[in-house]
Amino acid sequence: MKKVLLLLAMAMTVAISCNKTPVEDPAELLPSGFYVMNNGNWGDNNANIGIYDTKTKSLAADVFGTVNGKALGDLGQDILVDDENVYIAVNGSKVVFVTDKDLKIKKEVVATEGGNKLSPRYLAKGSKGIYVSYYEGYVGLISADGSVKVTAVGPNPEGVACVDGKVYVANSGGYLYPTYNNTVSVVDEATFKEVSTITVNTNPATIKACGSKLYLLSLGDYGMIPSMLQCIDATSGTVSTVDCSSPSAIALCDETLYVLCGGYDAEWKPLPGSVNVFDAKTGTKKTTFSQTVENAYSISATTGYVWVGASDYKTNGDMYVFTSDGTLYDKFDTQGLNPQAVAAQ
Amino acid sequence: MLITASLFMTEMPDTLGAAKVTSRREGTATSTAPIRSIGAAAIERSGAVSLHEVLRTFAGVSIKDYGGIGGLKTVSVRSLGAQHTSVTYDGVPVSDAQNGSIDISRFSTEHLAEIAMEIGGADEIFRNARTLNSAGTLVLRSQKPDFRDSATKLITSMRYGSFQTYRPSVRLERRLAQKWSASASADWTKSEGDYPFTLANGKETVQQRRLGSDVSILNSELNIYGEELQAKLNWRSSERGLPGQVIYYTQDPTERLWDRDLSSSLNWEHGWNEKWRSRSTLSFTRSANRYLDVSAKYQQPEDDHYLQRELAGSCIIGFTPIEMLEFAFAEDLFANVLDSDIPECVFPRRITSITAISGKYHSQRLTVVSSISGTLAHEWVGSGRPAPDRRRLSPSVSASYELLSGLRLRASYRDGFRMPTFNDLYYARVGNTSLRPEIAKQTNLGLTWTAKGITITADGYYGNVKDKIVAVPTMFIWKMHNIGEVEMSGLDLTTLYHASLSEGMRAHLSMSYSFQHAVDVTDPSAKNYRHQIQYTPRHSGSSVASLETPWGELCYTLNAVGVRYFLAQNIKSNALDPYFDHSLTLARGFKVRKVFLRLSLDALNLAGKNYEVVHGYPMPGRNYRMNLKISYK
Repeated sequence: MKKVLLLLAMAMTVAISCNKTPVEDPAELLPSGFYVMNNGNWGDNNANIGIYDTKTKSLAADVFGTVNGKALGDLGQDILVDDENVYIAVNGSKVVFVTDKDLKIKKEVVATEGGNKLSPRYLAKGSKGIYVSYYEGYVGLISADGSVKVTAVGPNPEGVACVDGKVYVANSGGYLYPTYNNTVSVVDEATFKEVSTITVNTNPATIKACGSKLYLLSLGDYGMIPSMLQCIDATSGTVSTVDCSSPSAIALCDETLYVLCGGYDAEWKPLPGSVNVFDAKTGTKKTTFSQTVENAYSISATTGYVWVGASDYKTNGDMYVFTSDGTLYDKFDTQGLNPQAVAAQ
Repeated sequence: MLITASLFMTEMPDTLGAAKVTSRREGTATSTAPIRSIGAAAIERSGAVSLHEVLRTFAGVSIKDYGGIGGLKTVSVRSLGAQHTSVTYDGVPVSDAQNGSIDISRFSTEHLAEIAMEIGGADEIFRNARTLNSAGTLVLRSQKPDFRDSATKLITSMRYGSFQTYRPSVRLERRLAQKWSASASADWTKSEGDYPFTLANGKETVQQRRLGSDVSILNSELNIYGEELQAKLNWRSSERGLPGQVIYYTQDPTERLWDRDLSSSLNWEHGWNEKWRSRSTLSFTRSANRYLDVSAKYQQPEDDHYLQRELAGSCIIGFTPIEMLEFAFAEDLFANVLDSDIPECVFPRRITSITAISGKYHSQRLTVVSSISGTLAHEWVGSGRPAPDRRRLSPSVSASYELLSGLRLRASYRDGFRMPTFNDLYYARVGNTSLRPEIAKQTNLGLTWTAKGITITADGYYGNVKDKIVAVPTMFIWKMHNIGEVEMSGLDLTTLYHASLSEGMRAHLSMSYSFQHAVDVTDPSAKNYRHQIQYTPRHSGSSVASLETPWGELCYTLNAVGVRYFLAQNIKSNALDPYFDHSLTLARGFKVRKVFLRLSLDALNLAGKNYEVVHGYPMPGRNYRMNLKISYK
């Protein structure tokens, strides 16, 4: 974000000093490169990351593979850009790659506990470094030197978010089928120990922070208990439900929460996904994008754009690029299976 | 040892059953639908120990091989899918109501007299009704005792192979009374299975060992033969590691599988008079299966137990009013039960009745075979709602006509199907009780030519699979639906050549080539529309060449498979490299009084490439086997 502001300021200085015609579209001043990560197919080692340019509307496929001379691995789960570093959690391959902005590998972070390599899931930036959830029941802290230490949380943690010196980890209990788990662990950044848990809906998955509010998507038990969007007040610890039907994925950017909603018809065929926009500060719904997306699979948000990945789980995915107001800007083939996440370069 | 034994060497005795095999081989040319078959002598010559080693040399037959000795192996014909292949062992169908496809790694070639694959029809109409629904039938026949020489026969063998593989085997045949005899056999396979392989990842190559693929399989069988009765009891027990797909940057297998299978059957065949005969079979199968995953992702290790039971009765009545005409009426009735301790198991039970009427006209020039089978399935569940009753008729017709001496034209059509499996219907969350059977139709048109020592067959085919049962993924849940459609056409060519070169010198050559065009036609808007379906090479072929000499036997086997795709879309990143697998077998027999010894050496996958049949499951590189077989008569 800092970098975006800096770029904006620089661009404005240039615009003023050169006395050119003022730039009308502020989006043109933002970086135009975006990492597009494909999750791949389980066991097939075919996760990849390409770089999409919003100016040319073109995708350079599998940049990670080209730059490093080796594949990303199995199941690209999450990507986080922090300053000069890119963190990539590769779940099946049990590694977090730390790369530069060109995706050149700097460090390979492997966490082990009790003789087992741990499987990274989601990433979040905190005050001490980058936090990563490990599906075996841990949250890890990756320090600037690339070392990692872990602390125990609940079963099968998924989403992770940081607010006011605390790390919130969604314990899905995904491998405790059919009961699942229904807690969010709160880890104190200073002691790096779990200090409390918050009870939420069954099978909590992704979690996003905005100010002192945490938005949590839980998936339910895929049967009687539906998926749900909840809001946790970090200061009071209270949990409230955000009204929306069949949420399946969430993304947050610039104090706006984007919720992908889908669901199924009577014959268990998936319905097209719709993007619902919420004011993340107040939790009130603002609008719904008019265009829906068939086979919607993931949602990501960056300044100026909302990205909806579509997948049939057997052929290369498609990315629907919307501008923040819901206008379809572009649609492209992601050159990989299951488009998982997009992050600004 | 070799030198000592050679001092006692006499002439190479003929391997058993050779005469029978030759006649069957020639039968492949007169049959109305394609049939690939091999007899005990040729199996032994080829050095094959497992069934898949034989089946993959058959034209139009493909094997899915998850690598290693313990790896799951399934067989399918002409891209129709493994669940459209039925398997019979000594005339009794082998089934798996939970998964639908049979793991053929459970059968060893050790005690088999014949392996045959019937594609889309068969001339033998005196058969179980069950096989008439499937696109292909794998027919396995065990060796029957032969007491021409003596009343007791003992055969033992000891095999040792690479990666600490041991395989002792014993078989005893004994005449009990004038009309009664028995055979008992047991073999045990134990392997560490931790073969080395080269993993290529972009520009990097890593040397690794395949961890977690150890295996221990005990297989035992007791047969009692009377004049009209045959009783069989088979016990199989195995434990194996499941290494899973090779994953970049990590290797930590956590899964294991145990199988305990008991199968028993009683078979009564009776000729009532010159025109009427019957065969009745009663069989019971119990398959217990345990799956363990100790992954740290579980709070408690995942420890699942499954128990399948099948009770089946079948009756076939054959009527031959005149020599050229034969009719058969067959009824199969079987009950399947699945129990499990997994959460949300609904304990499905199914009873199936299959009734078939077949007719055959046979003259010197013309053979016509036709049958129709009707299936009715009814299900119950312990909780929830069962699938509704399903009924289906399955007609087949085939004919062969002699155009010129030795040259025949054949044509066949079969409208078959497979039932949705218990997993398809009832597996927690994924299952869908409204599934219909998956339909597979195939039409074959071929020419066969036989002359002295040579047989050539050429078959073109067209087929389609409709209402294909596939798991449709959504955001979180996969659900089974009848939505796939596949169209396939292709060509199978085979040649077979036998030559007696001189006294004690014989050469055998068999070659096959297959062209397959099998495309997904489900959804014109999909990115894989009209793309070749997964794991289906356009071109594949095999060659088996063997030479028998007074000094020993030599056999060379080649399997060549072209590009395949491991995912639906035919793009470079989904392609599996073509491969050539060369194997060589050397064998020599010695006779010392009443004891016959046979020593053989196999060198497998000579090129040493860790090619993949299934993505992520590399095959062992070059490896060796040594076998000593001792027969006492």
